[in-house]
Amino acid sequence: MKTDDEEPTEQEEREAAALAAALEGEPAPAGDAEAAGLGPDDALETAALLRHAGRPIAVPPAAEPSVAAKVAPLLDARRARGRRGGRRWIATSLALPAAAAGAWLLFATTAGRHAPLSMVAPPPPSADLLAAQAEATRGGRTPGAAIARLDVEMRAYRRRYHEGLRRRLEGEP
Amino acid sequence: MTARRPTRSAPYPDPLPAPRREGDGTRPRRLAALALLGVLAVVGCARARRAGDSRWIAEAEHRHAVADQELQGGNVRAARDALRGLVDAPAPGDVPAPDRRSILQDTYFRLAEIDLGARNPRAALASAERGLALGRADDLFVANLLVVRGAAHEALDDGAAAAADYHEALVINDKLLADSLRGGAGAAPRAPEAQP
Repeated sequence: MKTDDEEPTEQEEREAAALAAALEGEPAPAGDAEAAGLGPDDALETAALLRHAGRPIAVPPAAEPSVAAKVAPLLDARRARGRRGGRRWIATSLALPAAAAGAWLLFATTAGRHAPLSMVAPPPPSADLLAAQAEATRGGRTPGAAIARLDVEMRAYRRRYHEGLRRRLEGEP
Repeated sequence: MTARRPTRSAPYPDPLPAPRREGDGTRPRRLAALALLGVLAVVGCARARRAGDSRWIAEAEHRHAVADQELQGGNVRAARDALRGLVDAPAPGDVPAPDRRSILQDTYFRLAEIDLGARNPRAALASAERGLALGRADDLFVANLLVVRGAAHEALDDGAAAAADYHEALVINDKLLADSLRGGAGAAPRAPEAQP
């Protein structure tokens, strides 16, 4: 076998010329083909093989009706499978988020909302507030003053309670 | 094997993609769009309900703040009107019942306290009764209503009823103090309530 850096021999050059002529569709010089040991039929066959190597196989017009009769049902079946697959993908891609949203809504509207929210007690009253309330339970001559003090203590507690409750209902931490 | 595209004169069906027919693949897409709209609508409604809850709480906050401001300016009537607006309007049913009760009872306590300050113990007694009719629990709001009802009884010279209310309020106050000393009632679950 020859290496790449060696010069082609005359025999090889003649063979290449015969093959090139066959590929171009030109008649090769008879002397070249014969001298190369490559007959015209051999060169044409080789050229035909090379031509078809990179190309799809063409169906001769005479065979088209029978080939099409076989291929058309297969293509239709393939197309139908593709459509069914596409529908399945669409349905799955919608059903999964819809199911997830439904599950989330169910959780948020039942377990996530009422049970935990109603189970949380208001903030603990301060010692001052409890003292003011205890003072107001004594009654006596000045119940109004004790209750007014209780009302003042309640204002700060009320703001804290309302703010915490609103945040809980809005889902804030 | 790849078939060459047939010529126009070929008497067999074209194996290349057929033209789109009406309804081919459009029905699933329409259904999908409808399903998506439905999901979005349900999610939107859920968010709106949640927003409705917090709007009522925000309204209560606002009305109490207005009452504070009016009382500071000596305008008792405007303060009472602001609070009456809260108890007269129907409370949304999706606010947790204990919180709805607490907010309304607290508002009745303030109304009764304003009436007592205005030397109108009968109106104070009526407000306290309405508040207590919403439910009972051993909490701060019920204790406050008992205190103010006791004061109204006292102002009406009904010493026995006043003493009973004061005593009941003091029992609750003792429990709240004990809870507070144990580490706060905020982390504890709500005490069971007695329905009216």
